[in-house]
Amino acid sequence: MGNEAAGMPDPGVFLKWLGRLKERDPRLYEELDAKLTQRQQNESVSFESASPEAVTRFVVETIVRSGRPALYVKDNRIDHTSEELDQTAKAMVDRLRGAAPVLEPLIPLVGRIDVANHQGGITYVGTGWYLAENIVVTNRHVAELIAQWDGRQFVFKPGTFGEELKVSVDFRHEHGIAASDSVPVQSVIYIERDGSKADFALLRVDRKVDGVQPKCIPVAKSDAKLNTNIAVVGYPARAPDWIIADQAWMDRIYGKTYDVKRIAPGLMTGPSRGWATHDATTLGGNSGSVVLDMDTGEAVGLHFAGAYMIENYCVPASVISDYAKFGTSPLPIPAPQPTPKPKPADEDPQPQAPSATTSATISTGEITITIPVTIKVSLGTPVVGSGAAQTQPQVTPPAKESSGVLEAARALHREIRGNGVLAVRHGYLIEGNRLSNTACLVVAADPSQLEDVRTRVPRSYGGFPIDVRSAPLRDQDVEVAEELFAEAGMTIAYDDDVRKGEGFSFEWVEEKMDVLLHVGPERSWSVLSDFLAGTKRQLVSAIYEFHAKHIADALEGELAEGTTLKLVMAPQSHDPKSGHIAQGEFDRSERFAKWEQKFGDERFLRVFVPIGNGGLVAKSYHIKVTVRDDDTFWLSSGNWKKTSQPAIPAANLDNPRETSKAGNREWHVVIKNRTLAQRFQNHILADYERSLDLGGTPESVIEEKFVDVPVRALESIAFEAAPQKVFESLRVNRMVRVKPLLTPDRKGEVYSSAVLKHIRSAKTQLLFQNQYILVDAESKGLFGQLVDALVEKSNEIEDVRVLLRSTDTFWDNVAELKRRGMDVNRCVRRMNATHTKGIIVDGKRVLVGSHNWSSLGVTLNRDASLIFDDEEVAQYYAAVFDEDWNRTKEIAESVTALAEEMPRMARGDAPPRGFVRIPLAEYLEG
Amino acid sequence: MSDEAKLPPQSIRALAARAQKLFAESAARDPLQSRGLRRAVRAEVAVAESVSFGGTNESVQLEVMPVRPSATVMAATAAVMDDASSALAKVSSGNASNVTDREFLALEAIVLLKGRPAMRYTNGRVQMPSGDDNERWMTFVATARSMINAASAKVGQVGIARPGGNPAIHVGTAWRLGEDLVVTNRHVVAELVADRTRPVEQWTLGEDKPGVVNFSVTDNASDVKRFPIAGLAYCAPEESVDFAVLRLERGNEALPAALPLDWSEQSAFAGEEIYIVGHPYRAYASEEVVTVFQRADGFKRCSPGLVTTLSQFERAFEHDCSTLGGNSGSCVLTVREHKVVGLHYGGRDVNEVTAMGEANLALGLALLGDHRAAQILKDGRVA
Repeated sequence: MGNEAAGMPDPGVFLKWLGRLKERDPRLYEELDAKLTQRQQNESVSFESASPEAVTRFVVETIVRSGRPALYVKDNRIDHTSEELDQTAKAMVDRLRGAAPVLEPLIPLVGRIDVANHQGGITYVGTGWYLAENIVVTNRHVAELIAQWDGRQFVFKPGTFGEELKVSVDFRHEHGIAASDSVPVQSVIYIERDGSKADFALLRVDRKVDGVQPKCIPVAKSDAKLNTNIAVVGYPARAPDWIIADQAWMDRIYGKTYDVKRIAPGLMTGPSRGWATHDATTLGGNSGSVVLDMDTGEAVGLHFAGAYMIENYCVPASVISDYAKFGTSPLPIPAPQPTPKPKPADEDPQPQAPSATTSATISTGEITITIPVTIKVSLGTPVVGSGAAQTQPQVTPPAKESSGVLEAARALHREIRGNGVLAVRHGYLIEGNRLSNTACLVVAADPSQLEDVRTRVPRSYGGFPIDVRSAPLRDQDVEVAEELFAEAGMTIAYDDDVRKGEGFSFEWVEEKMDVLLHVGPERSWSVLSDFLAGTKRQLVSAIYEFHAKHIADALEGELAEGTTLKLVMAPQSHDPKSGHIAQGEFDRSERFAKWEQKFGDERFLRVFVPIGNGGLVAKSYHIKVTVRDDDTFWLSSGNWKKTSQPAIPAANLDNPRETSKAGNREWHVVIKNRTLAQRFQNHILADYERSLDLGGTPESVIEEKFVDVPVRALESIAFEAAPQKVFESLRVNRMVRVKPLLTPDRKGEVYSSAVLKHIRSAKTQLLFQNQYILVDAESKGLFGQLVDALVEKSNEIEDVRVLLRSTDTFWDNVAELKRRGMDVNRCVRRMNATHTKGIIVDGKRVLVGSHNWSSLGVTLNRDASLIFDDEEVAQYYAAVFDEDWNRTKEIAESVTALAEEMPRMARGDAPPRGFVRIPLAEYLEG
Repeated sequence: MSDEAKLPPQSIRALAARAQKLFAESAARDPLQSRGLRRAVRAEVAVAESVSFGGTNESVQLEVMPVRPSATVMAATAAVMDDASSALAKVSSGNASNVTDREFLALEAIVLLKGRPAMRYTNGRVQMPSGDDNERWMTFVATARSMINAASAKVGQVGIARPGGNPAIHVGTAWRLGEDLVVTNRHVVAELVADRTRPVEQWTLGEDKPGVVNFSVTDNASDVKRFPIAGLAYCAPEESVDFAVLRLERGNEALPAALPLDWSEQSAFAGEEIYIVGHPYRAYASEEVVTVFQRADGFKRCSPGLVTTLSQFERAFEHDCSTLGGNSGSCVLTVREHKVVGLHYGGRDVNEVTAMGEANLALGLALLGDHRAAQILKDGRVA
């Protein structure tokens, strides 16, 4: 969609909001409606002639700036003098004026959490407020930026250059006012470290109470009801461009002023993903903001994540109270692990008010609100590839329907959520062996309640048929849903600033080089083992998962012969917390300790990369690159696991049936070229150094989650026939043109800009193979742009083929590709055992590497890829792609919507009958 | 033999004459520089005096000069003199100086003004160099900081302890060998011996010059690792092998570990990337010194550069790392493996005013041949 490509929020979201406002707040609705019409007349905006994008901007801006402003606070009072106020709807101004006596005494109790000497170079980390006399509450993901668990207590992270990190809370930071009211943070009392629980943390501050202002903000005794008038007080920060690509739009909404105290009015909306939600306007720095009930002046929520103004998450009052019981008891608390009331969506205490009139809003899949009708039409017009779409008339899903189905999905979700309904998405009916053009609503049900949900939900809604399917894992477990993390305004401490110059460059290299092209499973290990055996002096390795015993044995052999080994690993490389070592794997703790003892800490060095907020990367240190003796490197899509590097008996090496059974399809390359090897080596070594600075250690523990996978899905569902041939490796020794790519460099821009160019350069053919394209209707930023470029190309040229792994989100993702305009029946196939991540253009240029296609996968995770501008290289991988494509079936032949064929998050001690329990990482990564 | 060996015998008169000449020349040319030079002369004289007399007067601060406290001794001495001539007169009328011609001539040098930074440390953590010319070394620090820090922790400042918790008088640099030994230069040791006019084999440390090696002379050091020097374990008999080994008194505290050594001749070949860890100090801050060092206050520095060539001295190689007086005794480490390939000892054709020189010199481990120093290094002890 054009608006996505430009980074605009989906206008459907705003229109949905406006539509709902009619019942929720008729006064504001009427005013906004009139304002739109008036402004349109005043500015002579002709919706017929203006571009859809311009119309979207106009509408969204009017709605947000008038209806959901974020007003300045001045001298601890709501600023009613700012020119911003002219924009604001009178309904909102009046409401804020009315609530001022309740709200204003509380405003000085909300502060900005400032840091000095922060390694990430930031000056503040979020918002916090007084929960008790000397206790400030904020979010986990805020507190994690400043503190870490040292095994006994939370301690401040080291600052820059060995300086101490200084943390304080300043309760002013007002626009245009220099005053400061700052108290030092003495310690971090508590951080809820369980990512599936509340995004909650407590800080202790050194405060002197004057007895004049209230000591703290009281927390409401019960959770706020739907449509409660609320105000969010906090410090919105400029969102980085990977979250809001259209920075100019954001600047207009916020008047280019960030990092100062604002108060944003809104309403409580329904619960979602197990948390309370509101619709006030917030940005990243709002993390930790208080959500105040305008009538009572009580805190009804702790804001922690948001998607623009529409779906903002907060920890509800009841959960805050549960934690507060610990927090306000005599301090210090003995490292408690409070177990606040779990908040699964199906037990949500918030009263559901399925509005009888909602379906009236959504009657025919169109929005029937009474704003100028031209808006509705313009918003629905896709701007991408419209010319090309005419050459592929069978691929154009009606755009009106596209936004209508999203709207209907949201409305239906509001009505039926809970009791096993985890999400409602748009999708398409499967008819015959094809994904039909009939849009439907896909109800994602808890697999254990699938039948209940089937009987409970209607057959159609808002004019769309309903298809109940087993929910993918990301709906079952919040940690799997990485986009939520991204929206929470995650900050990583990756050090782009010191990675400058030739040594870290991403420029093209055109030099003589010795390139060994090879693919797995057939030649994965035979080439890697030769590569390792050729070591003379040193190996520098970055690896996501290092589990395979035969690889550890090979490395140990090299160490014994005098090699120096430096390993930079994701926490996923570590032993599982359970200590259980699977067959074919090795005990990492024991073996690494042994190596260190035997070979010395000058010969064997290792670090586990800190991930998450304030870490080196956001979620996964997912790279697989090893540099040998400063001049040769191995780069791959595959981890050091038996599935990716299977040790195939020599007798079977030339038997395609046997080799293909052994493991995953992977594309790898070994290159002898000093320039490229040095660049990768420098980045890996800098990762090592930065990880040490950020508190990375040679030991790590990762909380392991498990998933129950149907045996049938693991064993018998063959999406692909066996390959007809084994692909030998190919050696190329001459001038080759290559470009190295890494994320999270420049927050994903290095990768995305090069890959966008790569995709857009296709004139006749685009072959795409990846584990997944984890796209949904909300995907935007750089990832959204990449997906849109792929979709656009699929409409421009005939031969676009997308080969994806069979994952639990496959159908959701494919439906979204279709909604965005791809003829998925023509373009997409699924293959069970593919793990490679490549894109081949016109048989002349090829991307090889480890980048998965997801919002974090192309931005803030660590991955490495190469683009070869070389026909022989491209043709080598194209032949493998062809073989794989031709042995897979068209996608619709393997629909698995049945509960027994979908994985589910493990519950209880043992998997249900017919299921096998495997680590979540194993399922997701293969 | 070296050029130095042909010079007139060491004496404070030679030093005085040289200083006077420099002073006269520069005064005519540039009054401002002359002011700086006066200070330099005072400082040089002060070195002679303070070393000779153990440095007793430490209350006077020298104006403007970017000096660290140990230099206040020099300043104090100089401050009692009205000008350079009276200073020189006073010194020349006193006892023979301990300052050797060799030391004076073997001044460490800045070889290149650009691209050869000397990075400071904050609490043992090497700092990133700045500037467009230092991109290579920014990469070096970004990719090897923990390795540089680990090696640097084994390098200390050689000083003469002063009473009352005053900072030691800066003499040079030393680095950890095996046992409780440190390696430094012969000409650094000469500053500590009781009577340097005696034959080397009779050298003993002067009781009035209590030596100390401090491994934590960095900005904001939180953990002080400072060990008294117990004695002279070995000193090369010939001046051309500027090698000596001191023994430390470890007490209860653990010494930093020994530095690993690299004996391959290849590592001392021209083009090899190296770095020097030491304690450059220079009282007179010429424009060139300020450009490279800002304040050359004797605090620990990491000076990266290249091996330029094997020198005409058979046991030495030349390099272009930025060094100053005080770097004497520094180790030369390879960028590749952080192992010691040489012992830095001085510069060649150094301009005393600017501190610029043609090259710096280091004894190459691989070039020591069958000299006893080689055996001591290999064994990690003095048999």
